[in-house]
Amino acid sequence: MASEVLKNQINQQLFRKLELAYLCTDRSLKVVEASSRLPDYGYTNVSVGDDVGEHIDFMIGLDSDTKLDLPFVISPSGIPVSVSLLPSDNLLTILFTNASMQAEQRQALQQKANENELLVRQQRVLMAQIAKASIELESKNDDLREAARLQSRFLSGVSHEFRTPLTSIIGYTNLLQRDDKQSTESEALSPDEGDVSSDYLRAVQRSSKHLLSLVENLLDHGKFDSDEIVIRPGVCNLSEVFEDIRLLLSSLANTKQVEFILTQYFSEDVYVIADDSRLRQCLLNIVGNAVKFTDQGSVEVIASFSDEKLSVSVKDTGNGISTEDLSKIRLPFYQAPDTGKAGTGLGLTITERLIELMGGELLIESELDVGTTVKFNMPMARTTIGQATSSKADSTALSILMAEDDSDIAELLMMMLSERGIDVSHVTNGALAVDAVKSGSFDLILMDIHMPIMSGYEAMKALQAAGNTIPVAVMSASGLDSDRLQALEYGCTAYLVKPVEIDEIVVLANQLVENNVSQ
Amino acid sequence: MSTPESPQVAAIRARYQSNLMEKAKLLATRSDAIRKAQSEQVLQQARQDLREDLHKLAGSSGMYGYNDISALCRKAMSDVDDNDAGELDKCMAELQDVIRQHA
Repeated sequence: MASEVLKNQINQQLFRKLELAYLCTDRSLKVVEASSRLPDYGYTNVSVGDDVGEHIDFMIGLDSDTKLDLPFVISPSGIPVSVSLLPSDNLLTILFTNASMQAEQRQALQQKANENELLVRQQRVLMAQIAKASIELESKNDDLREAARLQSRFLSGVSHEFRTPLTSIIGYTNLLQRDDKQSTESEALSPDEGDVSSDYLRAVQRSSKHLLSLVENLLDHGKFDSDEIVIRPGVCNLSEVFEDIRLLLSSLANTKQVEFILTQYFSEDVYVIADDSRLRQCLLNIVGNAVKFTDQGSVEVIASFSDEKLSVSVKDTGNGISTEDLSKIRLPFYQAPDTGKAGTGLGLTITERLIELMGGELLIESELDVGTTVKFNMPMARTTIGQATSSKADSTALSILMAEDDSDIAELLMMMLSERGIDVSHVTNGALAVDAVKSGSFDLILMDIHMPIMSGYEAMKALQAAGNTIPVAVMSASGLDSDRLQALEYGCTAYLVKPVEIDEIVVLANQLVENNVSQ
Repeated sequence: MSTPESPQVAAIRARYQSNLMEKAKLLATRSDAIRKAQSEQVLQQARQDLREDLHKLAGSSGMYGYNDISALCRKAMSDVDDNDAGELDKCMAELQDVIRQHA
């Protein structure tokens, strides 16, 4: 009895804790008994005598002898239940147990598994990225090593290139000092000794200019990187340009016993519109390289001008350039190895860029142990302006207003311009310049910038507001492109950097007058 | 090929050359004013005065062919802008020397 009571109590406890529900059927699957908890799982309205398949759809197709455990079934109420089918002699008992906790645990495990899978995949992606970054880093390291090597060569080249002309300058100035000391101690220099001194001075000047061009090369390279290079076309005599190249480089070629030939297929009176200084820079570099890299034989320069196009060919009998180096020599700082010649490695890079900016094209052909030919062509318009400078009569028609507060500069310029037959009116500040324009008639206004009372910029603004049509040429001590651009914004037609050459003013004035006449 | 100078232009150049020492003295006075400035306001004015005179001399000396004087004036202007008293003193001393050589 006691054990029976205990058994009942245990059963009741188990039923309650496990939230058990049951349903019994006979062998024809008709309901004979149903627990009161069945509606908790959504099995409602189960009555004795009902076909069990009407209430429990997974029973369809099963018979009363089926013994089965279904661990997770979603009951009609949504609660996960564990279902056990327990056949006995005449009955089939279907037992339902709340499986919510097991279902949650199973879901949590699955979630963890999913997260692990994702982590593994992410790790694989990161590893791939690290591998790729390592390869790129190695490649960058190679680039840096190459850049360091080129920089080292560049510094070595620059040092040598600067030392050479500086040594020349110091040497020749020492000689001049010695000559000067001798002349003060004894009589004045004889004509021959005077010629030698002039030669020394010219040599110093050449070296100074070469040094300046080296510095400008370095600055230009920096400017190319920031797109600051400006081409400034002006009137240019082609024959003078090539004559200067011949003077500068033929003596160097002669000292190496290399024949230097320069042939110009145009006359001395050919004037063109071109950036004189940049054209010289390109020629100096190309012809200079030819002379530098030729130890025997010849350097031949041929220049022609037709159909408004300058064509130049520079052919040398130097060692030539290999195909591999030929593809690289236009790169900044690159120099063909084993030439034994120092340099910055910038000249050809800058030259090619300048030629392109001036509308031209550079071509290089070379063969090892035979020589190299460098060619370029450049469009340039022909003009007759330059020829006017030789005619004093033409410049007597010119009238210039000069606004310059420095009396020393004004006095010199006025005298030199007057001697060329130009009528010059002088004022000392921008306000007076504006008044003078109202009451006078001028072909050109030369405007200083820094003046008292009213600056050149303010005067130009006032003239612009008043509808001034007289060309204004700024004379400034600043060579910065930013100042030049600012002056252009204020309406100036030309920008002259002090010290200003008188011929530059005369040519400019004639050019502007001709432009005004033709409009 | 440059044309020879007229006597008038030569006379103007000679006059400029003879006035170089006056310009050097003026610059020396300006430099002294900077050294002796007692207040920030006075110092700023003195530096501005020196800079203006250096600017003028840089321009005119270049026009007259004294490129070394012009270059040194520009260097000194840069030292004034950078407020580098040590470099300015060195540059001014060198400028005085060069002007003396040409005068």
